[in-house]
Amino acid sequence: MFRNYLKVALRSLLKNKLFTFINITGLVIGMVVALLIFNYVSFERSYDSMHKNADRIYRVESKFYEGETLTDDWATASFGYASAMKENIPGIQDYVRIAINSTEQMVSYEEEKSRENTVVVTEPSFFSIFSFNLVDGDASTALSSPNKVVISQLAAHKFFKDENALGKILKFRTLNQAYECEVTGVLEDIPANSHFNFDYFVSWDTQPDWIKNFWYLHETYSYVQLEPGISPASIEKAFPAMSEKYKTEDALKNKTWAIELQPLAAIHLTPQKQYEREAKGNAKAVKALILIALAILLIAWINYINLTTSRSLERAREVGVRKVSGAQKKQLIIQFLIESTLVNVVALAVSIGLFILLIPSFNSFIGKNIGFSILYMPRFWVLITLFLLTGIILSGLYPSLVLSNVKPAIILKGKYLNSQRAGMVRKGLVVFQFVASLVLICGTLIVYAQLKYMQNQPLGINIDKTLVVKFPAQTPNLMEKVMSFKRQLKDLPDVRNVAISNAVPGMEVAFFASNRLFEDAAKQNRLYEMQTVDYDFIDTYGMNILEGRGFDKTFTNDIRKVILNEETVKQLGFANNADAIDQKVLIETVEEPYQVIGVVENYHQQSLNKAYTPIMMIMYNSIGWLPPKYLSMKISGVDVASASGKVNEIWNQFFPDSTFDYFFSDQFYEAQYSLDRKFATIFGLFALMAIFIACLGLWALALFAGLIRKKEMGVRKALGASTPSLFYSLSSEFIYLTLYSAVLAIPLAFFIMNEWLKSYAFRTDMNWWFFALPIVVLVLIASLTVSYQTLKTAHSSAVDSLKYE
Amino acid sequence: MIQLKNIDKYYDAKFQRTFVLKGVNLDIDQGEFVSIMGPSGAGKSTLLNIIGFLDEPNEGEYLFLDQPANQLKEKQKVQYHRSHIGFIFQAFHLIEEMNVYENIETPLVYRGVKGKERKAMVAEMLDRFNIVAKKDLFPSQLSGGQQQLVAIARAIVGSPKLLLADEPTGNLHSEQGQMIMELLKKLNDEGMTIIQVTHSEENAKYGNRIVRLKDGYLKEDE
Repeated sequence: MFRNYLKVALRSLLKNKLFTFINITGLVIGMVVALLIFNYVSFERSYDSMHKNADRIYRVESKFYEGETLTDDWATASFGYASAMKENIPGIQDYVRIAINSTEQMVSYEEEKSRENTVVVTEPSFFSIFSFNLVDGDASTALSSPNKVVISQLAAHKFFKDENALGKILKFRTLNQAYECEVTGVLEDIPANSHFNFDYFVSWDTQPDWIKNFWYLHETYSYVQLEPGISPASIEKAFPAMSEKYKTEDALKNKTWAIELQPLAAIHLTPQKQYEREAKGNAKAVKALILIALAILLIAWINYINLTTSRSLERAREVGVRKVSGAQKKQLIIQFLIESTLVNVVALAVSIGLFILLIPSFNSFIGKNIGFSILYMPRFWVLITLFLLTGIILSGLYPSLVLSNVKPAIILKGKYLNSQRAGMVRKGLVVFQFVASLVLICGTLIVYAQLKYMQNQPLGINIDKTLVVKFPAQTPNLMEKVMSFKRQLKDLPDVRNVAISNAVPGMEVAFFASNRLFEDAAKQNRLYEMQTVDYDFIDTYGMNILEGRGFDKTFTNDIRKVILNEETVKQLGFANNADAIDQKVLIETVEEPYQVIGVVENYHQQSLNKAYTPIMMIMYNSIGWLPPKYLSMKISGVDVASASGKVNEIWNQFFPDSTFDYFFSDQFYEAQYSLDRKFATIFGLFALMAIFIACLGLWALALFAGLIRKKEMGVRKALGASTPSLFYSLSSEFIYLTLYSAVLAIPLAFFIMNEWLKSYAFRTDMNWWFFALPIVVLVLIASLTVSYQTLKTAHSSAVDSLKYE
Repeated sequence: MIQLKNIDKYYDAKFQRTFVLKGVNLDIDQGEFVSIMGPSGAGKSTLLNIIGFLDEPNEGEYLFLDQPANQLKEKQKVQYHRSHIGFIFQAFHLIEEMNVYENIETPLVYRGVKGKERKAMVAEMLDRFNIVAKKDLFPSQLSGGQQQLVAIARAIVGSPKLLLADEPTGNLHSEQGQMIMELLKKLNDEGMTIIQVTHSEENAKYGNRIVRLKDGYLKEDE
């Protein structure tokens, strides 16, 4: 029996090769897209789950409250939090701190040197809390004494090639210190789905003693492992009371110091916080992608339904014969389910093949090495089976019900007309496909419009033709050398301006200080980003001074002066910019107040995803713990590349033992949008796929309508109807379907995209054409799809049509 | 074998009831060869379909083997199709995707006949109708007469007690038609009850009884 079904199913599929090809193509496209998305999503959700105790490990994240209001929310903890928590709050089994106060250092071994941005300082417990293994060295002792370092395999290969790294001495230099460490371990490669991306783990005792438990430097990622059964909420609750013991200094005294314990596995997909290094996943995008994948799969299965039922006219006769031969309804249903199984299995097999072929390019496109590991995961195969079963049942059941319900007495007379209800269902399905496609097209347009908006909005600063060079590492008389380097650069004809700063546009300034107005009776401290600059910075980046003046060489005492952005003026509580001028501000760790000399217009320090933040600008040599990090120069000539070559030459004369690392400001800034751009491309691509599949379905419907109305067309023709009028009577229905879909899709798309836009601080307005254009496009595509089939029907000779039956 | 008592079949339009069959009484005994005749639209096929459980009367009683048909469940009707009734049609209605052998085999498959037995039964049919050489051909590769032969083979392979034929020669030219009629006659001689719908007086003569329908009424029974 089964063999009989299979044979007939196969022959029937082979008989209509074009039909089968289209049917399977639709399914394959849907399945490949869904596989790629599910693969990506499951990768995104697998972050940091590889650690044995992952469910008990939490990252300690800082939160500051004024009364009930959350004022600051950082991913980091201070150096002192974790050790104090272990001492004072029961339930903490172990902790590890990873200091990130100086991740960028010049690392060298003999002649080989490199500027690395992955240097951290950590404790021996790193290896007991996390399940990372050493390929070389002893994890229990590797970090237990000063001046030891554990490095990644990547770093080991970089400096020592194939030599044994153990016992080798690496030299580390920052702006203001230099030290040496012995390599005591080589860490196995950290998986791609870990939020860690460090290569150098310096031992904790290498640091000066004062910093190890310091409460006023929130520059560690601290992780605690709770004892089994302890709830993180209880620890979070106990923290503020405990902190009172430790927050003895003035800074932030008025705030409540709290923490949030972030589950390790949740770090990747929670929104980006301040002081967070990792390129985070986007939970919203992940959800959107899942929805897209499901929509495309549904569209593909619906297609199968439409294509299959559109052939019911052909198949009905067979069903009738089988019925009078004694087939039960159940047997007929099974037969059609076997057919849909066959089609789905073939489509799935092709899809898995294509999926494997496409993974490398998909990975390089999204810039993550997901690999093929998914194919070895049992979860994946469970998913595949579910896929298949859902597909078979969704796509096979309805057609088989329709077909097995046909009445043999009617069919065998050749008078088979599909019931009205079946026609309604089919139209409903097409409307669903169109609604999904329309929402996807609208979404694509809006995603692109937002991207374009963000890229074209004036930034408030000029980042064109700006070369940024990273500061040299520690060397005798560093600042004198930098100054003469700067002077020499200015002599170059191509270089117009050179400025020193601790941050450049396109990055978080990230140096927070707790400041207040000197005269403020309530002593309300708030956090401000501290941007250090020199006399040339404001000019180099073309900032707009709204009130007062910028830093100026001709004034000799600018070292205790401060310039504010508008956001800071607001946060300090001034009614307007002019009021702020000459006021005094107390900056954390400095006793002498700073005098406000100017206000600059708000500018986009970071991408337009983010709102303006309060920024204070002071001179680069004003506060020791705000070291300069960048030299920005404006290039005036056309040939930016040759200018950077010249800068490099001069650099080598001044700083032979520091690498010349540079980037262009505009490209650096633009890189902030790479994720948005990728998302837009993916969105657009998948929308195209959805439309393509939906059109296959529409085509099937046109084909079907042509078949059942063949006789009607013949009669009309015999009565003298013109081709255009026939065309209209055949295709008007489809145009109406598209319009119904539009009515449903527009509010839906508006709602969804409005929600999506809310995640951007600066967003484009919704335009009427975001919604009108997709409808026009869809109507056009739909008419093109339908017209071939319809014209064919309308053109066919009346004699042929009437002979039918 | 078949008893029809006061059978009505009608379709309701908005304000009007159209009768296809009206007060039809008909008894058919085992072993008869009945020809139903009448002009187009007289209700011949509807009558045949009711007899074959493909359609149901609106009024009246139908006894098949002394069993009231209106009490039969869907499953029992399927059982009758499997074991008691065979159909042949004007348009042959072979399954295009199946070859001759498989077409004949289909009813046996649904009846759940074991493979070995099935093979023997199909082989016997092929042999009897002289189409052994054509067993691997598909319907599209056969002439009309040959297709109808296969259709008859398929209808009788399960040795039904009743064979219903709806204009079995309507799509055939006369020579082939004659051949098919001879065959039906022979089957009837072997004891099979046959009811055919036909337009042709000549074909009707192959049977032993003619029933004439007009406008849904049974006019003549000779």
